[in-house]
Formats: sequence, structure tokens, C-alpha cells
Amino acid sequence: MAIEKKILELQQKREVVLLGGGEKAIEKQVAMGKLTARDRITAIMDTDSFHEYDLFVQHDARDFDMEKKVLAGDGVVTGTGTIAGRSVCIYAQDFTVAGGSLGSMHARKITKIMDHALKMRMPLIGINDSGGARIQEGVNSLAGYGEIFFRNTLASGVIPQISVILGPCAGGAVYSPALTDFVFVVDNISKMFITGPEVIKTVLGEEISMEDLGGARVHAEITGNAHFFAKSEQECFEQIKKLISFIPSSNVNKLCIIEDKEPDPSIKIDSILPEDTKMPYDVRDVIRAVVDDSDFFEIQELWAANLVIGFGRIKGETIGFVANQPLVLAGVLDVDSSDKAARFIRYCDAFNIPLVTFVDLPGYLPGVDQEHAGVIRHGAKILYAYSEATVPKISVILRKAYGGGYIAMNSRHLRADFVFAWPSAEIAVMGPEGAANIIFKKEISEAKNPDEMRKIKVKEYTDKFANPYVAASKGYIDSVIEPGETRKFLLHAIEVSKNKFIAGPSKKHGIPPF
Amino acid sequence: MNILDTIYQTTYTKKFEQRKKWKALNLKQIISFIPGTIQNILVKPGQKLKKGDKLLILESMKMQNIIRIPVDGVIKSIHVKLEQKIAKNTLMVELE
Repeated sequence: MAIEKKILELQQKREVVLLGGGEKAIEKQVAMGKLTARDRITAIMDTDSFHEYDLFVQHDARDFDMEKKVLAGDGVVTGTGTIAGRSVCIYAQDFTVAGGSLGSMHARKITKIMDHALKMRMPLIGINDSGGARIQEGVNSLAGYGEIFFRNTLASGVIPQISVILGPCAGGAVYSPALTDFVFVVDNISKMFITGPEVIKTVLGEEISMEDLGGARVHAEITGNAHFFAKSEQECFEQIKKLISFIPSSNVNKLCIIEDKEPDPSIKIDSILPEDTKMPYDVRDVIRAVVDDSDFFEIQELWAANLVIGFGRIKGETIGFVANQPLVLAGVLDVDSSDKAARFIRYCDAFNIPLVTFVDLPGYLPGVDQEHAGVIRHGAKILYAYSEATVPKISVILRKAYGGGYIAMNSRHLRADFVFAWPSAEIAVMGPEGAANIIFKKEISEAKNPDEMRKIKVKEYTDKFANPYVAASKGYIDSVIEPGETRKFLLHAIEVSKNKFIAGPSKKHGIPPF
Repeated sequence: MNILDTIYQTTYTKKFEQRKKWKALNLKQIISFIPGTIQNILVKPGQKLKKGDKLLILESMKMQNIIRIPVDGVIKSIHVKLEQKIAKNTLMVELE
């Protein structure tokens, strides 16, 4: 049968292309500790759910003997499939083909799948593993990158965009992950930088290894470019699947509410706060005490650890959590933590995820380096993000909420919908020590024993102001609640906010302090 | 950690521990703000200059950067040579 011959021909053609850069190149990839592009996709997607497109796309470069080169799939694998039954679009650059370098057809394949994701309203996952632009294609490579970055921005806030860095991602290429919502890195495999170590050595005389310059740890701990850090590719894939299970597929899809589970009963929320208010505790214990199954999925755990962000579920519904972490830097707000919180708040707002904030901070971090780094401009971001968000916003003030920090952390004044406070809350313009020094300056300096007088005045201030009742008397907080009642109150608050609708003054968009 | 007169027990982040401690700027020292190559030295020790006068040309990032004197002053010493490749924060010229 003629058709049988044709089918055989198709299968043979497929087999060749599916090998990517060939057996030798695959061996090299494995020797580097990396999986091949198609193996990665298979590991992430549900079994047999992946459909690949544009398998036979060929590059159209003619300079520098390129006509003689055959590049399988032009170095990238694109397609659709499902993860836990949810449709996603995915592309994975193939390092075995010309080093995964990006040429105009390679970019065309990626932009095609991005257009699909945007049209069909499903998450986009991009696996980056590329040497960068294909020099032989010149400006056409740059044009390809530009088209990708534009679509990243167009889709931002409409569909979740996830970047997985499983190899080098250097130069211009690194801007695509920077524009996406979540970046996953793997220890010793991910490398992200604008200019590599060779260029830095030549131009600036500074010597640094690729790993120290832009390895996974650098981005997870210092730059904040990475959101999730894994020790192996497999661990990374598990993290991706977990993230997908929390987030809606687009800004118009509501995530199906899954069956809810009670939090771990062994976490006693009453005993988390220490006796001494100057001693730290892990605020994540509080979060785990209120979320379903005590399952808290933390984001950017290693960077700006003085502020905690992540997803959890309450009665099956995904909630975004923002919390000050007294365990690190006393839970202050600074340049990095403001950035971290602001971006997460805007993500949740874009995708209709309610926000719950746990407040316990003494204020902003003092210091010349902070001031010169622009803590004013960056700190304003968190105020902007909270004020702008129209998702249900609920706060629980656990302990200290002083001055600017009180306002910034989702106060009633930034239009939080419900603000609760534990009896241990201290809502004041300043800590008692600082305030007493200023208000009672005269009495203290004129006293026979200034230290004794200061102690008396500090106690006076503490008794009068370091509690939630002054703020409660003005209706700035809605309710003082017992720690044990927190989950109940949160549940109810989220339930009644289900149909929240706010129409702001019409504008093209605001101007956040970028 | 001391915040507004209140001492808290807490841990530091790596970034906070490694931060560069701030030092006041010394206007008598002309320090490079970018690494590069000394292209042209336009002054001599002992020379008297007005604010804004050119001191030297530092080539960097494919550009000729003109280094000017920030205040009226007299050149005390020049610490760099022609064609010398310097790093960021290198002392180039010292004023009296």
C-alpha cells in the first residue's frame, strides 16, 4: 500500500529528528549531569500527554555555510500537554542541537507556542538551556529574542508564565525569565548572567567563576531572580507540579476548589509567640497552623528571608500569604523584602488570589546602605502594591506593628478588607523605648535618676499604647481575636469577600515606583 | 539587633552581614567610578585648576570619559600612567 510506505517514511524522519543533535551530543549532555530536552518534558508532563509541534521546522539561514547544516527542530521542542490533568504549553531548548542557540526559526517556534498559550488561556512553561543567540544568524537572532520578550510582557498577568533554567541562560536571553512570573533554578546546572566571566575578565579584570557569578545559589540567595531552588532536576520538576496545583490557569479561570483538610493539630498556635516580645519565632509556624493540611508552599525562601511569601489553602481555596519573619533581621522591611512582597502581591491581584498578611515588624531597617540603596523608593512599592490590589485583603496583626511598617503591611488605611489583631498585638507609632525617649525627654533628663525615670516612662508608654485596643477604639482594626480562632475568622472573612468588586478611577495604569 | 532603641534577638541575612560599610566621600581624592584605560593625562602636579576643568581621559565601555575636577584646587600627585588599565575605585589623582 502506498500509504504504508509514506507512513514508514514519516516514522523514519521522526526518529532522526527526535534524536536532536545525535547520540554523541546526547552523551555529552548527560555527562554534564543534565537531562535532554524531551526527557525533561516527559518528566514534567502527565504520562503520554505531550504533543509536539513543529518537529520538522528548518532554519532558513544562508550565511556562513549554514545551508549545509541540518539542525533538528532548530534546537527547541515545543508543544502542549497536561500536568495533573491541567492543560499547559511548554517549550524546552535542546542544548544538543547547535548548543540550543536561538535562531529566527527557533524563536518562531517559541513565539507560536506562546501565542497559543495566550489565546487558549493556559500556563506557559519555558525550559531554558541555550548558549545564546546564534551568531551566524546575526540580527535575526536578536529579532527572535525581541519577539519573545514582547510576548512575555503581553501575557504578563493573563496567564502564569514559568521559566526553568536548566543550563546556561546568558546575555539577552536571560530577560525572558526575568519577565516571567516564576523562575526555577537547579544547583550547579542553572547559570544566569548578562555578561559572562570571560568578558568580565577581559574588560574589567575581575576574576570569578560561572557558578559564583550567576549560579543557582547566587540567584536564589542574593539577587532574588530565582523563586525556587532545587538540588536536582527531578526535585525541580516536583516543585513545578506543586506550583501548578496552586495557581489558576489564567486571570479569567477560577481554580477548582479542592477538598479541604484541617491543619496539623500538633501545631499549637497559642504557644508560638515567646514570652519575651523581643525574642524571635518562626512566623511560618503560624501560617502552618491555619492552612489546610499545614501545607505551606514557600516562594523565594532563601532571599530576603525577613519577609515570607507563599501559597497555602484555606478550605480548599488557594490563598497568597505575606508575613514578616521575626527570625531574620527582626522582621524589618528593607529594599529586598519590599520588592519581594510587592511583586507577589501584584501576582496574586492579577490572578484573583486572596491575600492574607501576618504582621509583626518593628519598622524599616535603619542604615546608610539601605538609604543609599533607595529604601524610600523600594519601600514605597509595597504600599503601592497593597493599595492597588482589589482581591480580598485580610490582615492579622500578631505582635509589633510600629510606624511606617504598620501602614505598609496591609493596614485598614490601604483598604484592607478585614484587619484582625491578636491580644499580643502592639500597634503604635514607635516602640516604647524609642517613644519614651522622645516624648518624655524633658522628664528623663531632669530626673535625679534618668535611667530609673526612663524605665518608668517606658512602662507607662507600654501599658497605655503597646496593645491593640487603642487602634481598636478607632475602628482601625476590626476585631481582637484569640490565636486559636484565627483560622475560623480567616475562613469567614474569605467566604464573605467572595464577590468583592471595586471599580477605581479610570486610568490606563498607575505609575508604581519601579 | 537594635532598632529604634529596642534590642531584638534575631538572625542576620548573609547580604546584611556582607554589606559594605559606608565611608564619607573625600573630595581631595579623584577615584575612578568605572574600570578602564588611562587615555590621556591633561594635568601636572602643582597645577592650579578651577572646578570643572578636565583632568584626564578614561577610556571605558567604548567611550572616552572625561574626568573633571569637582572643586577648585591644586594637583598634589598623579597616581596613574598613560595606557594603564585600572579597576573601579582606583585612586587616580590627589588634590592639595
